[in-house]
Amino acid sequence: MENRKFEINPYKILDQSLDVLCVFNSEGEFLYVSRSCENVWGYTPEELIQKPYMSLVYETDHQITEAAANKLIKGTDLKNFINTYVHKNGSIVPISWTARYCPVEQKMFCVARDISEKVFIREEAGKGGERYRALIQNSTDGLALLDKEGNILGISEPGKKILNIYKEDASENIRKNIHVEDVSNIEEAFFDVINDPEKSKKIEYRLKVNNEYKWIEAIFQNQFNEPTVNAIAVNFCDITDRKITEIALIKSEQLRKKIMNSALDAIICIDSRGFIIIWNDQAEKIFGWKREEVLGEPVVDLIIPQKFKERYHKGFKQYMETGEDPLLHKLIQGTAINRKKREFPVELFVIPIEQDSAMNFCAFIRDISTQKEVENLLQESEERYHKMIEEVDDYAILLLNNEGVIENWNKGAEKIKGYKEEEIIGKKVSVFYTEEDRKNNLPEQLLNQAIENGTISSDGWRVRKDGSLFWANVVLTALHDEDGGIIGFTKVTRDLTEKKKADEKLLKYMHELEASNIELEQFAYIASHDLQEPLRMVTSFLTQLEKKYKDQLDEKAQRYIYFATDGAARMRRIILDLLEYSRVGRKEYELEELDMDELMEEVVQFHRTIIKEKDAEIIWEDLPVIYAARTPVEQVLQNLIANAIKYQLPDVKPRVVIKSKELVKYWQFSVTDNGIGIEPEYFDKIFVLFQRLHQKEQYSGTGIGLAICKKIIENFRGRIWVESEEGKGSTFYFTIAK
Amino acid sequence: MKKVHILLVEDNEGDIVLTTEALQEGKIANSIAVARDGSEALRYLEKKDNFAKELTPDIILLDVNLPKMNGHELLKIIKTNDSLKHIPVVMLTTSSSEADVIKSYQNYANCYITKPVDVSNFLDVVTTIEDFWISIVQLPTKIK
Repeated sequence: MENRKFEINPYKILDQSLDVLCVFNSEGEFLYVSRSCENVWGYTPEELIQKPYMSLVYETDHQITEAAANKLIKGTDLKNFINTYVHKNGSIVPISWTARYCPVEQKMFCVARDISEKVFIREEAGKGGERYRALIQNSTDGLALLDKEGNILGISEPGKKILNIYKEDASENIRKNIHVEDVSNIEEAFFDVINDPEKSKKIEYRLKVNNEYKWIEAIFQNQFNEPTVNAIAVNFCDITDRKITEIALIKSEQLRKKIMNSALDAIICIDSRGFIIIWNDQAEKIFGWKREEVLGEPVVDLIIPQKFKERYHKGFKQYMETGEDPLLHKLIQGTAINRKKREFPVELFVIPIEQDSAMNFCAFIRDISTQKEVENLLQESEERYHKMIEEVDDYAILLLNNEGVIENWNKGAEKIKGYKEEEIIGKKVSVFYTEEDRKNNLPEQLLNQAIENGTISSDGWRVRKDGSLFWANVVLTALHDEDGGIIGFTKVTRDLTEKKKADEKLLKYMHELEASNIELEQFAYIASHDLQEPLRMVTSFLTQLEKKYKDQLDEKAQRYIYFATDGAARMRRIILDLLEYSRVGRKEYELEELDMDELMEEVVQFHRTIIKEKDAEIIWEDLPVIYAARTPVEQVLQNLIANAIKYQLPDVKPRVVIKSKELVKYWQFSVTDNGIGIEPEYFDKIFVLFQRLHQKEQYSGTGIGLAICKKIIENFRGRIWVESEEGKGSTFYFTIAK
Repeated sequence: MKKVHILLVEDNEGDIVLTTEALQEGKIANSIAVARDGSEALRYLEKKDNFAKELTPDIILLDVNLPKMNGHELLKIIKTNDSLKHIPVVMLTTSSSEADVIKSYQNYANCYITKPVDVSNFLDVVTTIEDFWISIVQLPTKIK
């Protein structure tokens, strides 16, 4: 069956050939020609039959064609003989012939191939006619032939122009002018082509011409199988201009991509069907979807929350029908969902973009989760703040408008001023002022002062709802808008009536105390003069009595006189001590550098009589220099040392040791004796005025000395105390501030 | 030697007794007049009322605390009066107050003495005053 089919239509098979198969008689007339002749010459086989081929041959080639035909008839087969023909449309067609003459049938059996593409090669190989040369030399493209080593065998005129060379043996020059990055590409292409006949390879490379790089496009073609050529043919042209545009385009595209990807906003574009066509880096980050995962997917399925889907479809449809959607060209807030289905707040701006008459939508989307959180926190804090102000009840906190009309009222205001919120909002702030203050325009003055100074504080009587007065401290603060205009005031009022009362009471006490001090001074003066005057009379005349009437008085009378004068003397002592006690602290002493060693010398000198009398030993060493008032400190030491010597058993030699110790803020001094000691229960009592532990017969004294010491020390913010063991002696300590 | 006339301005009877006794016991012949308050002393000095025939004193012993017109006031009047200011004024008082001392000297007192509390010391002081102001000091002769 197959054989039959094959035999049925042999000519049809011949017709399928791309080459033209033809048969000529010895006259050169077409006896048969296959269908492809139409492609080559433009004539149908029917038109060609009976025609001599010479009628188609281009005139310049008649000679070589005739010669070739003669050769053929004499028995030499033709192989790749090339000549040119005139196409039916007038164009020149180069044809390569393979033919054999059959002397028996006197017919030429030929295969013709259109080699228009290869014609330039033949031409340059110098085997073709002038026609090809013209064709090649008039082209703007260049043509070069290379041997297997890549040396230039020949180069067309336009080629020379492109490469800016005038000699053909410029191989070395050209080679070294190839851009270093492109050398390996060229070599690769060259060897590829060399190893594979019929193969061609197109490359682009940079070549330095006149010190500037030109972009060259070259097609390498292996033509070693073409005996007439036997070289690598390189067809090339200067594509610098195109390349520059191309590179600029690529760069601009890259820049655009970079810009888009470095945008802070997610940039997402969809086409008119809602499919994603652009998805930048930020979109990947915000939504968690990779670009390659989402491109071509419907955006509505990926990032739009359920609740907004309907709105999306509606808006889409509406725009397509009317060209409008109120949400376009506008910064809007909404929510979106990410890959993990988490919904988050976004700010988005959508614009329609028309390209090539197709509608796209581009959305700029920003994740505002953080911003929203902050906003919420702020709002919460503001609410809490409001709540707080409302709840504060020790302060009346009011908001006034710029004319002093009450706009806001809190619990404290209600408590302090007695008005309910609904009673007072909208009233003027002057309702809280007294009639007199209102007459004097005090409310307006205060507001003006607040405007001038920002904030002012004032005290004064204000009126409650029930008409009662309260003493108020008012802090008024002017509120400004961004341009510095006054938009109102805050007014914070405290009810200081109780404090005012307390202050007044304190002031009254202070006056009383001052008066009492003056009285005390008066008393001290009286004590020193008027009390002593009669006392002096008592002693004076008793003395005179004793002196002048001694002989007339018996022993008993003289004893009476003794008791009377002794009593008067003691009373005088008490009065003087009391006077001294009252003077402590009333006098201002100047502080000075006080060498305590020196001071002790003075104290000992002061007590020299009694020290000698009692054979007392007073010991001290390395006492500091302190900063204090001389007189009171000396008085304290005198008193303590006098006591130490005085309160002693009759047969014991007094020994008094004075020491010092430095504390952080104080100097501490101690006076230790070997005296009779004090029972612990009296440790505090001995410092109280007129407290004596002994009968005056035993140890004389008014009971004022230690009280004076205590008053002096405390007056200088120090402390005095005693440690003692009965029968073994006492140590008195006192401190003086540094 | 001429008899010296002394004016004692003192309200304390005890001191009057002690002072006059001490002066009388002294070596120098003298006469003593006593005024018991400031205004009486002023009337005495100006020889007013029943004092018209009294002598102008050669020396005045003046207490500070006095009824009606106190010592300071009287001193000021004496020391601003041309016919009296030459008379030595000895302030003799119980007050030891610094203020009193300063005030007295500022008003040209000739000296200021605080009365000793002890009686014998007091008597010594009076004797010393008499000794100094009457026998040692040269006083001006009567100014007409």
